[in-house]
Amino acid sequence: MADYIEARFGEHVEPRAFAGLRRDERRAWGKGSARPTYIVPALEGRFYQPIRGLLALSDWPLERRLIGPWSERADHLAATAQLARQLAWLNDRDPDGAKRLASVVAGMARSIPGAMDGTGVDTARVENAAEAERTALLTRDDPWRREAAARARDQLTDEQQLWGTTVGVVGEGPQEGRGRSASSS
Amino acid sequence: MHACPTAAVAFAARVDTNRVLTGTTLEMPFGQSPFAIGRGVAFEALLRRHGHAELRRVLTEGLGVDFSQAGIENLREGYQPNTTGLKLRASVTRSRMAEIIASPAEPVVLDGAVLRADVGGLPAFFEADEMAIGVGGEIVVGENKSWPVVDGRPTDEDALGSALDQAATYVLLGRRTLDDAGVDPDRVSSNAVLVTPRNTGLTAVLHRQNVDGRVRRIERLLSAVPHVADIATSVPADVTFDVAADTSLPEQERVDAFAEVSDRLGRVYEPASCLSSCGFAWACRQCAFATGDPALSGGVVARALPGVVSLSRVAELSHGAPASAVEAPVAGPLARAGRLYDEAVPVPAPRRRRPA
Amino acid sequence: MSTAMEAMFAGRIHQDGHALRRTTLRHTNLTDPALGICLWRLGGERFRAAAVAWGPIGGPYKLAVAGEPRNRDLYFSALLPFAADLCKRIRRVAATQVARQRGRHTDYLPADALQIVVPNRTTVAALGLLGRYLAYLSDRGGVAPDPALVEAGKHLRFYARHARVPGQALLVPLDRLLAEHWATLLSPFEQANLAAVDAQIDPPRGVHAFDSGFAAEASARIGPEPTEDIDRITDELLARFNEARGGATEPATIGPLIAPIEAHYRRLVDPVWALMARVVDRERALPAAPSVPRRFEVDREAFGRRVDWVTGGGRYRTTDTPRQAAMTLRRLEEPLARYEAEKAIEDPAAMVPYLLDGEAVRGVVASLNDQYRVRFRVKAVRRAIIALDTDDPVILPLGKKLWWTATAHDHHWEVQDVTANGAGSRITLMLYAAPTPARLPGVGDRITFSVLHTSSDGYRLPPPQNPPWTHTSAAPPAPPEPIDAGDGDPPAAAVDGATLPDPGVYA
Ligand code: SF4
Repeated sequence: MADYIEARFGEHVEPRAFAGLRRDERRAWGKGSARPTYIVPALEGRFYQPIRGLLALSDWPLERRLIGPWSERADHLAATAQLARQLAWLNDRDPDGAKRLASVVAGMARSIPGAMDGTGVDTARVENAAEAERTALLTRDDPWRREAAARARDQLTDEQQLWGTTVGVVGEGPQEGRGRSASSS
Repeated sequence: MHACPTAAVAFAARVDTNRVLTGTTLEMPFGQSPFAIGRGVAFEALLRRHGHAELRRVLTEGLGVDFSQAGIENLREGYQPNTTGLKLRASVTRSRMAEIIASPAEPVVLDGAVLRADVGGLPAFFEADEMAIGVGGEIVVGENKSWPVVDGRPTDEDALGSALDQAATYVLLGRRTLDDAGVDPDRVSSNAVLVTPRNTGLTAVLHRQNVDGRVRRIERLLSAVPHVADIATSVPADVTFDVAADTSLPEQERVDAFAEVSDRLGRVYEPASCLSSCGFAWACRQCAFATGDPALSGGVVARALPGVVSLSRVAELSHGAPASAVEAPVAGPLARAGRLYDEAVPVPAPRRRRPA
Repeated sequence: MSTAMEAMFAGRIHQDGHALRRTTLRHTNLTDPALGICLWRLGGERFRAAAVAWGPIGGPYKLAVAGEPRNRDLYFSALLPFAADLCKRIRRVAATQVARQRGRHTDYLPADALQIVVPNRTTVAALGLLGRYLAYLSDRGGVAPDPALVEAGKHLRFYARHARVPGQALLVPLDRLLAEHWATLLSPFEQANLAAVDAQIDPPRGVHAFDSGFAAEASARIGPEPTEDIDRITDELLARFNEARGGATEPATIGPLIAPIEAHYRRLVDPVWALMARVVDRERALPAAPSVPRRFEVDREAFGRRVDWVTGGGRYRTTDTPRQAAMTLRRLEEPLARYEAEKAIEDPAAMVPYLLDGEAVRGVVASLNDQYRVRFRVKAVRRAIIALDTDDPVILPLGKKLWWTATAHDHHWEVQDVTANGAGSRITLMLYAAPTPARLPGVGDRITFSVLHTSSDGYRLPPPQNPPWTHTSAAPPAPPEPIDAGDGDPPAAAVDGATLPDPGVYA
């Protein structure tokens, strides 16, 4: 994200600043201010604990704010495809900005089979390759997200669905996958 | 893991052995270069970046199984960096391991698996540097290390040894975990995976290595850790590391306090393992020197001297002093060694006597 | 190793307060002056020598400091003077050759070899890695690397590999030199610290070896791997340096900026340099064992062959095949056995462990019969028989082969009989060769027999066991290839250990 901002807007953002941002947002939400959208943490999908350094928007559906075994890769592919589209748009309008963004896209696309052909960034090629891999991943990622989100709606308060839980552990005995959830205030 | 009552009691009391002697000359310099730490952090980050792209690549190439669509559960993120987080991760690890064995078709990676062990009768958590990898219904233990491999060789043999020991620990604990769950423990592979950078860059490469021998050794080590409950019954309740750890006291007082506590509890000083992993090592070495403990110079010497109480006694015997009944078996060879050495090196170096 | 001997040493050193010599002779060649090399890496960076100091031991050193060794341009331009000087010294020494007559065959070998002395075995490994890196550099941006770097890389690689040969003296790690020649209170694990060993050997007046060793261990810093305190300073200096140069790599800009980093490393090198000189001086004072020149001749031969090969543009394999590795192990076993044998035969102190372990016997020749006749196939041959009276009782199996230390290169004797004799034993030994005067001791002589011998055809090498880690790989050996891909990547950010969360594994 910091890389993207730097490339797109020429501004350097300290990745650590995101943590402070999250705290501020949480406080604002607690005060009940009437903003429609908050920046909230992404949640892992077992106990719905907030993930440090991964951000989402409160108006995204819960499915999208959950991170499971396939989600990081799927999100990366989605972001790469999205940036490739942006780059295609920028190529005609802002060659300098395009150049900065191209190196970010190249870095992101390097791990995608068939995305890079050795020389420059072919935006269509990157987009297609990223989408192809993502489509394959979604057959696993989507059902996982749906199941995890359903479970969350079942178990969590609205607040927890946005900000996550902190989990305490009860006893030392075997406890498979389900700790006691407590509100994270 | 030491077969040492002092270390066991410190562990039971949740005393960080690296902190007790902070500020004294006996504090162990265990810190690492910021560059070395930075390199390790960078390598780990490289493996995880872009949805674990580099890790997927290196596992696919190294294990011959396609990991590009593998589910990679990241247990490092989203869990608190404390005991609660570790417990949760241990519980997730346990259930995921059972699932891996139940559904062998899907390659799976647990990044940051946590295994629970009993050390001296107390629970301890071991954070697998990397993962339990599920391949074909088998669980493979993986370790990441940031030292490079060149021409298929580790650039640091010592570091390789300790990495394999670590992996062997996870193999052992993984097997116990399965065993407890009623699953065949041999489903945890004996061949551990090491992921390291290759050559001068950070590009990852994978090696597999059988760690059976090390698993057996670590099993022995673990079982040699004295049970804290047993020590507790024999040790008075006033034994504490608080005085030694009190930075407001003068150094000598703290060091003496440590010596007294560890005297009462007992030490099992072994240079190589103590000096590389216990925060009390310099202090215990000092005690070993002060009491003339034959363990001072290592196991070879100590094992050669059953029945001999101290190094001063060894010196006397080597000069031909009469031996007691218990010393008799070693007295002969010692006296002979002394005599033959004196004969071979007739002019001894000028002696500087120890000040009284 | 004799455990009784080690225990005796520990007891006496503890009592006397200083280290004890294991030998009465020096078994390693020390040329005057040797080339000293001392280096410091950046923590965790196995290929980045942040500072290289080199020069004649006991003399002044030159220092190569890159500033940012993770920048390839800066790194290579800093290493270049070192590389060029090393190549020049090696070529110069190799240029003077002497003829050697072996039977009808004459060959030429260098009259001398460049001896390199380093503080410890870790430095040997570090030089080997640096050599591997430099020896096969790829072009970068169409620019070929300086040939001196490549040549120096090949030399270093050779030196580091040759250092595996037991008894060699081309590349001498001083920690090993001291461990071979001195007994201390340090366990093998602690002997890697040269300053601690030195301090136990020569403690200040009135200070016990243990205390002076500990003080040295706690305060001395010996590369190549830096400790946390060193690299905290390096980190600060480097950050300032990188900021000031702003990406520049040309000498005019770098020169004035690098001084603080150089001073930092000078402070680290100075004490190590003095320590190396002290250690070498002390050991040089001991007379060299008779076989030292022979072993150094082997070194000179290897040195000459390699220099020819390298300066002739040669490349050699980077990886042993399993077969080659096995051969190497065998090749190393013979020098090891021979080195151990020569040491003990020439040095009475080095023989003691063999006497203690029953691999050698010492006694007085009580009688000699050189007219003894035995039937060998069809004809009777003359043999010699002696009776040897030992001070201590010995247990030896009949038929055991022993060599008299005075003729260890020659034929063996065999134990015929052992009987009790006062406090000791009487051993009857028969010479397995014609009894010439040179082969026979005199009655009344006090002599030593042992299992050690130096005839080179006498070694039957067992096949190697436990092939090392790397040889279990089925992969064919890689042809020599550059390993520098990625060496120009932006360096990782330094991370302060104190800022890392403690995962509380034991908590
Ligand atoms: S250093 Fe001391 S306390 Fe620690 S394990 Fe060794 S003997 Fe025990």
